[in-house]
Amino acid sequence: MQIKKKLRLATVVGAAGAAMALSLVAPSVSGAATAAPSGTLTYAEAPGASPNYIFPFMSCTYFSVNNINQFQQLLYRPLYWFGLGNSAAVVDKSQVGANNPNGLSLAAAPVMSNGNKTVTIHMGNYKFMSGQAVNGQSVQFFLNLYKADVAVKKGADYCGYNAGYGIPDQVASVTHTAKAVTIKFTTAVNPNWILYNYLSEITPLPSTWDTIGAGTEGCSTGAYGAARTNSDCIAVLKYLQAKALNLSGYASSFWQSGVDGPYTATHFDTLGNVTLVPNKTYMGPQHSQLAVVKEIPFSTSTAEENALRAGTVDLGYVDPSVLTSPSPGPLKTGANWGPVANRYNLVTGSSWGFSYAAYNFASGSPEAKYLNQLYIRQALQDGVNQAGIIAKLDKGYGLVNYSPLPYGISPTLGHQPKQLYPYNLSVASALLKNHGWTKSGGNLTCTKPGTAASECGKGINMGDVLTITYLYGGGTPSFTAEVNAIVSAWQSLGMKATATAEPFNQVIADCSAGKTTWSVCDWGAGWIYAPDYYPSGEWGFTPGAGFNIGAYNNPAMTAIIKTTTFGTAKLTQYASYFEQQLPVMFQPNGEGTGEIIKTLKSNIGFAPNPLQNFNPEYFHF
Amino acid sequence: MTATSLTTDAVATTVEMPVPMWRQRLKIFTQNKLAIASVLYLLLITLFCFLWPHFHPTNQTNQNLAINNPINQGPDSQFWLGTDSSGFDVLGRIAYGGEYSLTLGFLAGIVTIVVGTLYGMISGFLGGVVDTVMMRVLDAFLSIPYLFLLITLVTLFARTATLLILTIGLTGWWGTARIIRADAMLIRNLEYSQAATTMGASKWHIIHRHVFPNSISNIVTVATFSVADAILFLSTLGFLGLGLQAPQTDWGTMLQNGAELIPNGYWWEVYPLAAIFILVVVAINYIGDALRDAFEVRLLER
Amino acid sequence: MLAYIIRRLIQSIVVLLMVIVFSFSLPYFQPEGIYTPAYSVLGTHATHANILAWGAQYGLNHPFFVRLWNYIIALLHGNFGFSYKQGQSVYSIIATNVPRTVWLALSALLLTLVIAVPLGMIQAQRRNSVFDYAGTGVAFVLYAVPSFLLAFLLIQVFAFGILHLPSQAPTALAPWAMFTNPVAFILPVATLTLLGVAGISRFMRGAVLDVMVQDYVRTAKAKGCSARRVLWRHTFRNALGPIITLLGLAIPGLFGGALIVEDVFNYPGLGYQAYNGALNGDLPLVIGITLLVAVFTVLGNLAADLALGIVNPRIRIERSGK
Repeated sequence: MQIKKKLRLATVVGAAGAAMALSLVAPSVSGAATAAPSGTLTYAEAPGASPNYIFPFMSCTYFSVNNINQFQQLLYRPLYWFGLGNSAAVVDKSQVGANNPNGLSLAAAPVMSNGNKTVTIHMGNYKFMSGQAVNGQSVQFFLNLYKADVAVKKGADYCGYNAGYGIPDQVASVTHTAKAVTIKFTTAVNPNWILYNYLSEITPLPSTWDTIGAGTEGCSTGAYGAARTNSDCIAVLKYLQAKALNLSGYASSFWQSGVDGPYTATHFDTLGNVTLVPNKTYMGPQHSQLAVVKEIPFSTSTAEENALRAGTVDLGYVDPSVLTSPSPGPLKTGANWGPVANRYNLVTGSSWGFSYAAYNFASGSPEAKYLNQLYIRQALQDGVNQAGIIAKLDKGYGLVNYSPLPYGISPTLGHQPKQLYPYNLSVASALLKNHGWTKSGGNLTCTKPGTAASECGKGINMGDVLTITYLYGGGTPSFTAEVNAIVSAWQSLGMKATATAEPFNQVIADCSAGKTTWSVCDWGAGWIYAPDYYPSGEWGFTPGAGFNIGAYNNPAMTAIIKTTTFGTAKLTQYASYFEQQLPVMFQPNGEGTGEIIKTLKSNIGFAPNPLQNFNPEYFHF
Repeated sequence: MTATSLTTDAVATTVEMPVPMWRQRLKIFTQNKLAIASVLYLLLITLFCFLWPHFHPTNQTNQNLAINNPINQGPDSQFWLGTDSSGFDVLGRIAYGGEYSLTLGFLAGIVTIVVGTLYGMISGFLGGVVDTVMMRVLDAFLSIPYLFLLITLVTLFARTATLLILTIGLTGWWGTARIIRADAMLIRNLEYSQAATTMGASKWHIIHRHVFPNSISNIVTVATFSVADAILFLSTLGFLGLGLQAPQTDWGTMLQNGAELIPNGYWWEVYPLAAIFILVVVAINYIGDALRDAFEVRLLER
Repeated sequence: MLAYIIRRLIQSIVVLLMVIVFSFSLPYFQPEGIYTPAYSVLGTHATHANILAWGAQYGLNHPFFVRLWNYIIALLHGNFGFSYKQGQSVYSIIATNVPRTVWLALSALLLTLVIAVPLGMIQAQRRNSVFDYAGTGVAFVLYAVPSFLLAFLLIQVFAFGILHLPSQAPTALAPWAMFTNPVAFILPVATLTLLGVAGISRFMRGAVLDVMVQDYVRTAKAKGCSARRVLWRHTFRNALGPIITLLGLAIPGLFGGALIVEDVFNYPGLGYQAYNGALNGDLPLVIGITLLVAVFTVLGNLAADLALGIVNPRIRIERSGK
């Protein structure tokens, strides 16, 4: 759902180990909340990324890790909770609140029926702070709001909207009883896909929010999709959106009435200072053991590192570039950064996503004719020295990446393919030579135009010089060095490759669909599958998809993707085909590097969470 | 200050001078040992930046090779000033970044002075309504926070060397224009001045011999300071991550990267360059000061 | 005097109007047009229709002059527009950050004056003495140090070497937070002060030297006034003029310097907001802050001119004659 931005800095320090996550399936509520909460945990927000939106139904402007994972979900729990743990294996249906009325999820695992055309959700025993049960009506409230926004405003106010796919576009009806919600689809859907991508995004909303200031509207109680419901919902939406703009009002009882998570906010300001205290009425498996959780803002990662050196934060992060001792292997930590080693422990973890740079296949792009050739994409990938980049620029805190599936994906979702195109410049060179490219004046020039196997390929003319324009988001020295390492390797093959840096926002604007001034676009890290966790490819690799910025259009790929969203196929075939076809340039997946103060303890271990979730309720001093 | 300080007694003194004025000024300048040292230092650093890569070539652009170099390694026999976090030879990179910083600073200074001089002269000579309008426009520019504008412009455009020169140059001339305008007005007023003829010299003679040289002196002095300021502003942009694009680099970007590693004790990545950089700016400013002293004949009396 | 004030006020309004027009045109310089920020604001899921809708929401679909007119009218109502990125009105962001930056900049400015003015005067009085050379040397070096480098070095030495001063200024929002932890302001204020002293002491020395050769100072000396009396009664008062003018003009630079200090010392303020705004394509925020600083500057210049008129009545007549 989100493109990653400077992921290595933004990674949230979450908690838990895989083994412990399993034990969460059957916790005892009475055993959890015994000792009185004590101590203050100070948490470092990512540089320049502070929470600024409280209402969990939000447009793309606010759809970010700092709003969702670091703030909203501590207050307002999603219907289905994913990712308590350092291993991505926990992103698995079998551990999502299955038959567990008070798991981290608010409902039992969804039950599919009618040939995967109906899903029934049985609600747990959670309560809002207002006293209302988190029940079928609170789920219907969210879905009614969603439907109304799509019907009236084309989904402009909810960033998770994917035209034509899933909820609400494939939904025929939604009905609820006090303890259950039933959603009927117009076609069969893949149960994993609908759970991971759509049910996961639902946040049950309290009836106290079904208002336009005075009285109660009909958005939470009306029939799904009815005209009256839609108009009520749009009015409510407008009221709540306006109210959410007043950041100083976030600690008010209005917003706190909807709290069903382990924390409630007592202070919030525009600079990004957040103070959370335990929600005493929380019904989940683990009550907060901390008396206060404070989130504090940072201007730069250097400022945050200074705070670590002074010992003023408890949970923070370092940029791998300052680390002096490399990681001994994937997801292992080397010695901690000298200036903080006496106070903090270093932890590392992967991310539920994959890093890539997009290729531009748009017909207007002058360099698309090169990128349309599979052998050229293979030669480009052969030039990416992932192991070298990880070892040198990431200090070992990175993972070789050759698949759209996240590291450590559960076999129930699909299997990782084998690596097909490791770094090998001589293979790349031979590929180009065998397709009629010869070096003249240092540049590769096409000498055999045509479409035969030994010729340059469709659209490429005699004398064309193999040119690649690489646009990337500058600002981070290690990433800049990474891009230039890749481009330098391509240049050494004889390609006329140039790299241009732009600020992050400018890159996104310039790389957006339809622009033809780039042939490779690299905003820094790729894609993270959150909060739609199912790593299928409809978001970026089907024609017309929201983030198909390179105008990739391959009917075979589209067909395979549909088998994973509407059919019940695993993601294995998709991943293999994706890797073989290379619709993107794979680059190393960065690991997060977090710092945990040594006095902090956790019931379930420490590790950055792949989904960037933050579960401070498991920490204590 | 200097522009309006051409007092009548200064004119009177200089009129009688037998020695050509520029030679006398050169003499004053050369008597200033620190100024000479500054010139020599600048010369040395410039020569180092432009010639050192030829004597001791190091790869400063191919980062694929950089992956094969050790990173953040202290000085040794192969890397005299160690390597940086991307594996570049630091000594070679100081020269490489210096080429850009000095060239960009110099050219941006030139742009500043050309635009500022033209604007100031047009405004000052034409006078009247044109002058009033141009001065209010200048007031408007002067009340815009310069650094904010610079950052905004730099984020809007791709950061090529040419665009950086133009951006820094085209946003830096406001102060210059004021000084030059004052000179131009002086010339304009002298045209109508009876005093000039009563002193026994034709007005054109005075403009040519005294006012114009004074303007030149102002232009040269201000140009010197502009170059120093441009180098400083470029370094600030480098700190904010808005300097030249890799693999090109400039001293500001290098200082920023090095400064972040100060806690790691990688002294070779920041302190040598910091010393070179600071002394370059000091030298340029000192030369500017010395030039002003030399040009300002009035000071002779003090 | 009243006519002069009115004339200057009108001039100031004209200048501000020009700043508004100029800043307002800035987004039109974007190579991809005024819709560019939409891509980063709306992110990955935005369709072309979303972007057009976003533009309409911010009124970008109207012609330039209509937008400009609406903007000026809104400004008159104290409405600076709406931030693209932060989901708040620009006014509320500015209102939050103004006291923080002004506190930082003002305390640094006052400290700068307290140090730099006497320093420059003593230097001028003891021209070519060891003290003068030392002062000049220090000023030259401080002037040449990039502000961020100075900040980093101060942090390394005084936060993690000796003294162990805080390396971060308080991020709490409430204005009184500034007073709860004054120690945390030592390093940020010191950075700005050192940079300011470099420029102002040089300038003061030059201004005093200029005045010292003026006729009336010579006359005063000839009359047999004591050196101290000449320095403070005559020289100081006359050198004050240029300093006042300089202070008026220095306001934009003060905010620029604050930008770097805010960034390094983790003290969100106007400069930091403007920088982040520029990076994120949040142009309403950048323009709003630019306008605010321009207002400060224009008011500062006005105050400087009026103060000048009081210090030295000759100037008033001279200036109003032009």
